[in-house]
Amino acid sequence: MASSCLAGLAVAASGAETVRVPAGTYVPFYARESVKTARGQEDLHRPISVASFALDRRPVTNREYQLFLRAHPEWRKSAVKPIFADAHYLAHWRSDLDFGDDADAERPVTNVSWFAAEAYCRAQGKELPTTDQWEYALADNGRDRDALRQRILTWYGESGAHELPAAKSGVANGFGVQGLAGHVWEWTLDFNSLMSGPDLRGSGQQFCGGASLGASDPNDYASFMRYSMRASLKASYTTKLLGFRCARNEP
Amino acid sequence: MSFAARYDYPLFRRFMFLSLAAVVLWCARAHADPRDVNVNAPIKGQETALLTYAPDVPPPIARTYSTKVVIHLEVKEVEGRLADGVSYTFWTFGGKVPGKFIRVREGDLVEFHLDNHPDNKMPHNIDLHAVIGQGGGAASSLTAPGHSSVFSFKALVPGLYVYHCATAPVAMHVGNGMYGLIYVQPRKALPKVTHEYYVMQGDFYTKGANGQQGLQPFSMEKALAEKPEYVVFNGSVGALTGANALPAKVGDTIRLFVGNGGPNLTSSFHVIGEIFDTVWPEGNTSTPAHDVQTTMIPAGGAAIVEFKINVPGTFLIVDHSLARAFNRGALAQLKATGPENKLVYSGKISDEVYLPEGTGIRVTEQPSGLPAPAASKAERVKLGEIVFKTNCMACHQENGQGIPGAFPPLAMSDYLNSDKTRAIRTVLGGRQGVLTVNGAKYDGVMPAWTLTDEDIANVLSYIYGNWGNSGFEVTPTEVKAARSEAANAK
Amino acid sequence: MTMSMPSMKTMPTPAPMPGMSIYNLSSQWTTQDGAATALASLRGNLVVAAMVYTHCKDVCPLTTERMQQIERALPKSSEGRVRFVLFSMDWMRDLPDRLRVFAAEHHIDRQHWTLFHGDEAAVRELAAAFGISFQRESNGDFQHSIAIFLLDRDGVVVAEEPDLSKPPQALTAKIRRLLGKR
Repeated sequence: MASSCLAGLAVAASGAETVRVPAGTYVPFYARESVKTARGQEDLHRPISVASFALDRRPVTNREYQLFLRAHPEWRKSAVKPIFADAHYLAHWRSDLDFGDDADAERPVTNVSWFAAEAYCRAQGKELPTTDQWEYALADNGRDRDALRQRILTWYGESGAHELPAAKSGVANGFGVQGLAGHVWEWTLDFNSLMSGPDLRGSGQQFCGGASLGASDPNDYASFMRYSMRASLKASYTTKLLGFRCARNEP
Repeated sequence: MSFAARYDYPLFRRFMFLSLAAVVLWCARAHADPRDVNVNAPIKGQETALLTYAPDVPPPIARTYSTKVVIHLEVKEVEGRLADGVSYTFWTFGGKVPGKFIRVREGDLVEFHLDNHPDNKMPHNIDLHAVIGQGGGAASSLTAPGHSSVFSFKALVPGLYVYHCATAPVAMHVGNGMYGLIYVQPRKALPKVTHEYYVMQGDFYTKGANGQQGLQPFSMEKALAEKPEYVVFNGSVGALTGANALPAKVGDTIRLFVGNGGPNLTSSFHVIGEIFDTVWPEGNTSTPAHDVQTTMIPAGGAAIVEFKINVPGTFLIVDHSLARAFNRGALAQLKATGPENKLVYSGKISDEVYLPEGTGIRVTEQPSGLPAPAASKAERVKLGEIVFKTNCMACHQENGQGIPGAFPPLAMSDYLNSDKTRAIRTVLGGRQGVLTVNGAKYDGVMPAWTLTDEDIANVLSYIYGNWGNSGFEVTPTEVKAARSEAANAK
Repeated sequence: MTMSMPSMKTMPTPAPMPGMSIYNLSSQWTTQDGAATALASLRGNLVVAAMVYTHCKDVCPLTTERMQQIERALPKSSEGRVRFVLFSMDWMRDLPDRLRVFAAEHHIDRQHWTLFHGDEAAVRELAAAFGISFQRESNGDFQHSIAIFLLDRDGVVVAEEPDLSKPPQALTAKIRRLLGKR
């Protein structure tokens, strides 16, 4: 029992299989800062650089999260403090360590808050990916862009009542990353850095920086939805279709 | 005498000033900004709003004071029927498209709870066009699944308003069905009617073509191009047809609260076979229009239409951009039962072969819907007039005077008044050859008429009842008897 | 950052920390005087707090001013029972030395105020708990949302004022009520 427990901890410590995402650039959906073009207009298409980093190949599963909970009892359902996770935390688990049946083991863990997700990642010596890292991985250097958008829109159109697919299902994209589209929403480290967009809580009162900037591609409904989702969240929130994966920055 | 001398000028001036001041103040009071009145309306008590699914409307509000109304509206993403064999994942306010109908009163304070069901996938918010404030509420209500947002507003202006989700991308949220109506009942409520119904139009953009079976995802390309596959009332093709038609009875007054959620198309709203006695255009409740055939309802807009049912029938409710009505589903029905009124609308009386020249034999086909039999002599005469005007008047003229030398008169006709049975047989079998009527000779051709017993009875009763004739009533039984007698004689 | 190690104990306290208390965060902060401390050290007093940064020329000086207005509006009897706290979101530049300069520039009463510096992770965690959005720009400045928070003696947020366009009368009134309830 102890040895399998330790073995489990070892797996948990090493984390899920990661892929190395090479350095590159991408155009963020919302421009980060106000930069004017030569003609004095807002440049909404400035690419930003992303340094190379390691990203989990797929979302964290129920089984992996259970291993984390064995070692960190303060994050179990019965013990977690409400400031760290709301009343729906692990709502789909039958008890503190019981995520359900074997099929659930390989499904992405959901109903976890930002605090919980970040605690898990730190326990692996990682962190949540930044929004830039996550979006850059999704953008996949523009490979199959229209098909990707359509896949995302189709996922939006599917009822949330269905069972989640296994975390390792889904075709890997050009970077070798799976399940960025069509599985679950995913937490990012700086989900609350959204400074632009029409859906900010409190009508988007921002200070000390650039004006509220428009989207780089108003036809990209798939991305609008993703940013609206992030804007609706607070760090303690959990939802049935919101999971996460971890990333490690290269030194 | 000078003006100043004629009047005690200072007193007069003071009087004029005070009068003018009084008039100005009185005008200001009478035209006090209604928004200010409602901002300051005192709130008495609290109640929970009764919300209804289309096509039902909550009953008119009877209270005469402003209150606090608590509203809980739950967002649910549900898979449902868009058309036969076609399903769609609708995003709904309350579980169905359109969203639940909200009814409050001018001056009410609304405490609004937007609840996003934990099984939902998407974040949602709400913009109610009745709200004066940032985003119509949208800025305060972005809600993640499994959470609620609460905000409050005062209903400052009466009218019928659209509400909808305003989360980016808005066209997709609205395109998936996230719209409904909120009615802010004016202090002076609209007159009572027999039925109030809730109808809301929307356009849907599916990946597959109209009719393609199975679960259809949303098509962003079609939404951007504003080319819907479905344009429907109340969320699906046939939502208000057949067994789901709106029921009514002859004599009812009907009020439709009509909204257009869009996201893109404007509606040319019309009820086939009816005229709107009153239209409150754009959903306003202060300036009605009357006697309107088709009213325009913009996307994100509404209208209140009222009409009285005079005759029974199935009245088609359409967007008069007809391809939408007949090919994309923008068609609903109101089925009215009750007694016919042939005067208002007779139904098809006859089909005629149109002979541009000459008379020849006129063969009439039976009208498709047989009219209800006349219940009294007076009714018979009234119905007979229609038959006369359609069939007989061409030759025998409007007042039965005939044309000398060509067509005998029916007025004060000795030929008719002396023998009722012969008159019946003349209509049934036609008449050829020399004829003396009122002392004058006629030698022409009267065609045989293929009319029902009822119609012949009616037209003869009409003729006998007018122009100084004997006033006989002719019954269908008599006609039937004459008909079989003639048949046996052959 | 040891957010989740069960062996780390918070300061010994007579009563358990409420589940919604900000002091459940175990991040370490450093005061303007260089003292390393956990948030739970603030327990016991009412706390008026905001997240700002010293190089901010926009809303942060106004925030400080509004907090000072609250301070001035409170009765003498409240001294020592209300603590005013500024958390800097600028982990790169707002080190304790810099915080001391800022305090002097703004005539901040060091007896009643504490200014804190935290590392990036601490800032992120606190902003998340407060519901504050922030984003660091390439020139080192920040775009951020703003609010003045009132924490009860156990660190639970009991009021939040995001509208700084007028003096914070509602917050002041609430503090008076809470002080009266001792």
